Amino acid sequence: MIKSLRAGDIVSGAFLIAVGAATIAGATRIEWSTGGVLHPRTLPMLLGIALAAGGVWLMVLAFSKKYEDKPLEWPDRRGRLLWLASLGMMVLYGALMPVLGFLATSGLFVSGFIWYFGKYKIWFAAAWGLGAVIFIYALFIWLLGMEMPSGLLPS
Amino acid sequence: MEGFGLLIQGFWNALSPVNLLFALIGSIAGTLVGVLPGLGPTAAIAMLLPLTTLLPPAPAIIMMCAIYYGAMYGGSTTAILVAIPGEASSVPTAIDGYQLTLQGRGGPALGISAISSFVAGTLGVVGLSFFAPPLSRVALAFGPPEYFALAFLGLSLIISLSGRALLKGVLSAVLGLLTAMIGIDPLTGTVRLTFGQSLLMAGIEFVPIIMGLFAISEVLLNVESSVKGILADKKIDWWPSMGDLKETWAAMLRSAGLGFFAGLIPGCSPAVTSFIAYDIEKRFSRKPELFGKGAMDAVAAVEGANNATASGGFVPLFAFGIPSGPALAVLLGGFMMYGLQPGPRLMTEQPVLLWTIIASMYVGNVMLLILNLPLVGIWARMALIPFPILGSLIVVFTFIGAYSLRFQMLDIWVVLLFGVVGYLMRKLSFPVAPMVLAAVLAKMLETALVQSLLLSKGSPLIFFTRPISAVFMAIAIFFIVRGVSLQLRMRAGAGEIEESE
Repeated sequence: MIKSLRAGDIVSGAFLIAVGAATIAGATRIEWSTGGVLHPRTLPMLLGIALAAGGVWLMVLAFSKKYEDKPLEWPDRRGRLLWLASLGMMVLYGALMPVLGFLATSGLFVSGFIWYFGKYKIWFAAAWGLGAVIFIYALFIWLLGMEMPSGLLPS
Repeated sequence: MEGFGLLIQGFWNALSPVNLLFALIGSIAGTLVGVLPGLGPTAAIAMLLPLTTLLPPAPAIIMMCAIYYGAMYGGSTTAILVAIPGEASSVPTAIDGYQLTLQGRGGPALGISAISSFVAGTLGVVGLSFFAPPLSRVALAFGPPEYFALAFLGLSLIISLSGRALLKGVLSAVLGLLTAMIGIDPLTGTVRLTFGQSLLMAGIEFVPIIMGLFAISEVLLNVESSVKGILADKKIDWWPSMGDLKETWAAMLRSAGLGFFAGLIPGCSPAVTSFIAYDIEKRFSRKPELFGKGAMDAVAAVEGANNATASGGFVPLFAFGIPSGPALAVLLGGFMMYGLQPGPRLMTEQPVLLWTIIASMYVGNVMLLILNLPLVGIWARMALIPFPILGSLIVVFTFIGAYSLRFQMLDIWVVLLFGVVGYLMRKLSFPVAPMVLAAVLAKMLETALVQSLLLSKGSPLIFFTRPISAVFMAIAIFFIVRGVSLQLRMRAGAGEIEESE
């Protein structure tokens, strides 16, 4: 775990250098398709160089003596688990959406999130999930006619 | 005098029961689409276009206009209460408005936002009524070099948005620009930075980036510290006080002027003016140190600017038939469905209809204020919902907002990715606003740059030889030099203090 802002800046700098290098590599593959005065690769290339140079500068500043360091506030072990659980639920929500459809996954997500993080009774969480599904259906699908993923299940 | 007589006649028509009813329907629908993240006025007006086959032109166009400016009123609600800026123009509102909500002042922030929207919206319509024909010439003076200079001026605001972390702010902006370069280049059709992934060819829109950076990262931050509610143990104010009004009236007037004049420029979206208004207000404010931490004048300035820009945008539309943005382009389609072509001919051939529409905007702004102020207390109570419930709903509405943009799953994954990026940026003290500003401006910047260089056969001097672009470039360079020198002086000052200690 990165404990101080100095360490954070060093890691961020390294990450930005990597992104900058990847951008430069990607930009070199951009081909000139039509005539013009500015190659479509010019700006991405310049931005890649700026990112890499900025990353180096960030690292240099982090190593300097005048750097104003401070500790970073990360969650404790329980907080980390909760963070991972919430992100996992969101990823699962997105991944299941094309399979189960938007309404079913939204209901499951709302119920699961409220039940797990709020420690509410399961029927209370399920009622909120059902309420959310009815609201989304009525407003977005029925009234506004929006096309949401319907999933692979037969409707 | 003829114009004034037509305006009176316009008021007479606008106050007829049918026109009032459709102005009210448009105001309510506009507020609703503004509140719902992702569902903007463009989609709402497009959905209602078929109504033009049933209604006479005046009520239909009055309703569509009301949706457009009504959406500007509603757009601040979720930005202030739950840090979901549904549109890029609400990003600066989310920065300070959400901080005010965390301090138990979400109600006053919503109230000031509604009042500022009313003041600026009404002043914008006054400008539209009296100065439209002469001011509309400004719109025609804008070519690619002026647009590039305007976007460059917008980018120069990164210096002040970065606070003390200038390098991190600039890097954040570079990342924002870079995300906008992914996909098919709109000018040449060349595929860029997709690394062989066909999914990325559609490019990355800035709205999911904004939603991820603000809404999802906020959920992640609250979850890790097991927050029970965002207003736990806080004294809550429901309404703005006289002190709030005294503190913000000047910001409302300044932003109304800025927003209106910026609105005259086709392509200058409320997003650009809201950032400029935020920066200017920071310079004028008596408490600039509160910007980013919950400044009421910031909320007033941003909301005033985006509403005045919306009103100003009608000037080039009515005078020349030039729409300033996608929503006004759809509105132009509404005019055309009735066989009407906005422009000089509309002013001479259909003056009564035109002035009825303009008069209805005064009425619509009053309606919106009356509609929105009583809702302030109700909306503000949203912040009392326990976080596990509120957080789950934030995620669902963010996903709906992102998906409804292009009906692509890619946008949902972008939301999640930038949610994590936003979380890490906040932990590592990287300012988020420069990334948003850069992502919003990137397309305008690159398109105008390429077109300008084509005009000048590759010479960048074109930006300094045309008067309007030269002024914008000079202001931008002044902002950059002043911002960097202030940063260097601050650092030198800190160094001297350290040495003396």
